[in-house]
Amino acid sequence: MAGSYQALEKATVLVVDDNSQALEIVASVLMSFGVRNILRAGSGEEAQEVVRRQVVDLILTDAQMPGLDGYDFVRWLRREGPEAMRVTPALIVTAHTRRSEVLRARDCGANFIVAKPLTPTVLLQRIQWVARGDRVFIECDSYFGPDRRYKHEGPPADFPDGRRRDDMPIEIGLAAEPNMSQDELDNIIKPQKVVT
Amino acid sequence: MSVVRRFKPKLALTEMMKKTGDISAREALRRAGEALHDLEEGCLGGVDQALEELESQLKAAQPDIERMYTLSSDIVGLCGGLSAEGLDVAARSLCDYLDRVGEGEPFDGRIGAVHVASLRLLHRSDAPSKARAEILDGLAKVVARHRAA
Repeated sequence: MAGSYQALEKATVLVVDDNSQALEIVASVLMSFGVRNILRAGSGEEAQEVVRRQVVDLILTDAQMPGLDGYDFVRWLRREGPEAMRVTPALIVTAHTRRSEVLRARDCGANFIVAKPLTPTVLLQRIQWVARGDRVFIECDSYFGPDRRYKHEGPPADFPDGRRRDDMPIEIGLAAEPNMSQDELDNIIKPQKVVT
Repeated sequence: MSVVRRFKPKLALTEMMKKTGDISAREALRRAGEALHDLEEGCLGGVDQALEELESQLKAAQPDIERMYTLSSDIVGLCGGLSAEGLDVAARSLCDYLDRVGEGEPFDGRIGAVHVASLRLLHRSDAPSKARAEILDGLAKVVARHRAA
């Protein structure tokens, strides 16, 4: 990523956040990336008005907002938004996801959910990922948005040792112990008597 | 039977990013770091205000849990413009606690107070990483004990 050149100067990006300082953080980072056309909205309702008036190339919206929140805004965009905007990349930025909102977050149709505090590196990486445009969209009765199932491609190239504690390295190496016999394997799955 | 349509949308952003731009990613990230530095004073002030309001909520007879949740999540967001290691972790822990309260767990002002005290210790502080880790560790232990009780 470090050597690639950014060509975002012609992109129009909509940033939505009810907290003006948080909105300025995102806008400043985007301007540093070369984005010249940044549209700001202080609520989901204001964001709806913006996309009804104008085509944008990328949307970054806060998740928690009074009234129409980020999840509902993206859901509306995908299902009822202007035709030209329904597949527009949309990133949801959230400080915290309530347990009751996890399913809404998964099903709203956003391209990514990005955790706050936002760092420039993560934001640039996510923009590059959505711009690759290699993710299939799914449209059915219950969902409209990027495919939520990812093909397993191993740990990312930047993190060959894995990014989670339980990720396996690419090279697992030789077995530390001899292979189990068929009898030992059968015993593992042998039906056991349950004592009640 | 439900019909599922799969398609790969053509994005204007994809076409833009294929072209060579004016600045390298390295330069973009350097500029972003500078831009965030310029916002630091405003973000520090934003956290000050949020902490003051959290403290007055804790003194109220009936704290507004929803408002406290908004304030603590605002602090997490403002950390994007700060270099206050661990402040976001403590604020997110408060969000977790208030989320559980919103789902029916009784509110315990002492847990709210220990979070705000930790946030105060981490905010506008020159404490080294080790001291910050100890503050967060202490907070996590208090929260875990409270949950186990």
